[in-house]
Amino acid sequence: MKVLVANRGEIAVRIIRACRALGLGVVAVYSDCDRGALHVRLADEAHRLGPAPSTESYLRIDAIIDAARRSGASLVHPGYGFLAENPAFADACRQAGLTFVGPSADAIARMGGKTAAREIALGVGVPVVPGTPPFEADAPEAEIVAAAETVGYPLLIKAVAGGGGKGMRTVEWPGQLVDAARRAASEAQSAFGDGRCYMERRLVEPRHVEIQLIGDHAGRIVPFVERECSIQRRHQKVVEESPAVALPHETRHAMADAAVRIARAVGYTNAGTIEFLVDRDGSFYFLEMNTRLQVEHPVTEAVTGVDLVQWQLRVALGEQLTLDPARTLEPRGHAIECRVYAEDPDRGFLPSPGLVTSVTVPSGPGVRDDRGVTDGDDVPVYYDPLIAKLTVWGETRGAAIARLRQALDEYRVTGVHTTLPFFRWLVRQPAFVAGAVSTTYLDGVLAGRREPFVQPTEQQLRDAAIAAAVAAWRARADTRTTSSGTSRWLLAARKEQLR
Amino acid sequence: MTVDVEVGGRAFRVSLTRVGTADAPDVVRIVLQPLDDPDAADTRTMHVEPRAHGLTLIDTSDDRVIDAAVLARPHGHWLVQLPGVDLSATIDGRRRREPGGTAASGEQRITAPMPGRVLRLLVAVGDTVAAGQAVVVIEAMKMENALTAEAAGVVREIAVEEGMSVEAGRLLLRIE
Repeated sequence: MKVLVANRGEIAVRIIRACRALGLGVVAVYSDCDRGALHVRLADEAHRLGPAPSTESYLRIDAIIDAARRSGASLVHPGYGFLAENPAFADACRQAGLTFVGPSADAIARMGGKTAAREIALGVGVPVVPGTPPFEADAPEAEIVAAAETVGYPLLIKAVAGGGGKGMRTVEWPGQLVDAARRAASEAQSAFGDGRCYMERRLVEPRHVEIQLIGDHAGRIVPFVERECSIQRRHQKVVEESPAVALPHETRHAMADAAVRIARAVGYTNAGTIEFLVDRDGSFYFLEMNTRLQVEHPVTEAVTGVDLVQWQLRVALGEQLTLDPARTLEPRGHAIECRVYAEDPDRGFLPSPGLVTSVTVPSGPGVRDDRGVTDGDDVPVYYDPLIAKLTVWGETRGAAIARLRQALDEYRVTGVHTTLPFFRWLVRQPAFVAGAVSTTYLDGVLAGRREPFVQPTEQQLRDAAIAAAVAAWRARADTRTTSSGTSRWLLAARKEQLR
Repeated sequence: MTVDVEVGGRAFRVSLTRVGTADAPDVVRIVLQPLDDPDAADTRTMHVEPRAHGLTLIDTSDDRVIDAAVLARPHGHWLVQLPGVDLSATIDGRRRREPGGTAASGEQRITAPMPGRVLRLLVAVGDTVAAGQAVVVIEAMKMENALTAEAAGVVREIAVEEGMSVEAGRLLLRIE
């Protein structure tokens, strides 16, 4: 039996590993710039989808269904992003006789519309953050302004089809509203093909806590110990951990119970995550449901010992869950994940696509690395800049942080800039160590920050000057040798003969 | 060969002389002179071991190793990645700038900081812009990045069109 992995990068690699462990065959798909990518190399076979832009490749339902038909795959795993939360894709798979590894198209549609999901939560007695109905991308200014008045400032503009911080904007005062709404709609349109947005009140310094769950086709839904994802940059999670810092035991169980009620209300199957905001007084509000595997699933795996991706596949194949909630809600130790992006943290986290010339990966007890690239791989400009996830586990949060520091110091990626220097700085900040953070913490400390995350020593500056000069000198020498007709290949061959 | 290297806000003059023999050809004498303190010159003799995308330099006096990934970028820029720190170096930057006169007073060249697509031009030729005003939006890796004018001025040239794909360093617009 074969599984078509309808994704790329680290998550495609992660899914391939789960397929292998279950003895399932793997079919990869790729765009033109990913022909030689790691997920393609690891698969049994690979099929081309189209040109590099995702709208012409990883977002093309017809091309993916066609690749599944040609390869004889019987399951399709969407990963996260791209088509993972597109009900039309889940439906197209079903109509083509393929098993979609995820919830039903109906459950995706009902939970995927963020405003409809809020109604469902309210219907089962779970509180939500006050917000507005959706507005169209070209809604008149007056309508947007009037809607904003009903929630008050500061507020958040979110894409109805959103996720991952795309198409999301904070509005502090009325003057910013219309421009922010237009920009959010434009980003939402290009990222999700749906420009509709809505507004939501912004809580003061809330924490982001979420409940992973998984449901089988016999109606059983198992919740897992919570994850905390309060460290966010522009609404994009950058560090996740499990369990949450200082969440009372009763709150965990109340939250898990609320999550299961919401999932049950839509007959939810397979893996999903219910996100909550926790206010300073400890009360929690339903934020949204992600009807797919999450980027940060490894922290849950680390503290529960459960392979979530394998269970996604097993449930999709009709197996019943044998997980015991008493165990999945009780964390063993503490896990923390850092999302390593190809971005230059010292230049405002500017994207840094390009050739990864080398990767030195940390390892040792309690260290896990999920990666989509290795030496000589390209980070294309067309997709999300996430290249790796570093997850560490320790008996306590303090032990996990100690391991995280060591692992970050060992980690080295060359050829592109990465967020590793930023993480080395972050894990030494007193607020992070104390766990005294909210979703506004990171943007607050980064605002106006000028100095580099890693301050080079005098020795490092001198070493870098020497290395640059020697490299430039060699480059000039090479140009001369080549132009005078002496091939570098010949020189290398002569050198070999002297050995 | 002698070059001026700017890195991390410091400037050095680096002189390289090959001193290798037939047995050990890749030995180089290096004189490193901080431009702000020429008397503090440091002379070292190092083995150069080239790697696929960088260098290993071994000091012959104390066996200290410099492990550097080095990548050439356009316009005399180099990315030097040492363990734990990424640094941008410029070689002979001043010499390059002087003859071209591109750093003429009052002119700002807004260039693409990374490869991407020009999503929106927010100004037109002849427009007056304020310092910090967003002038163009570049999209890369699914995120929109608004580029701003560093100082107030008048838009003199727009070198790209909306929807165009651009390489890093490509001139987008000129403000005077």
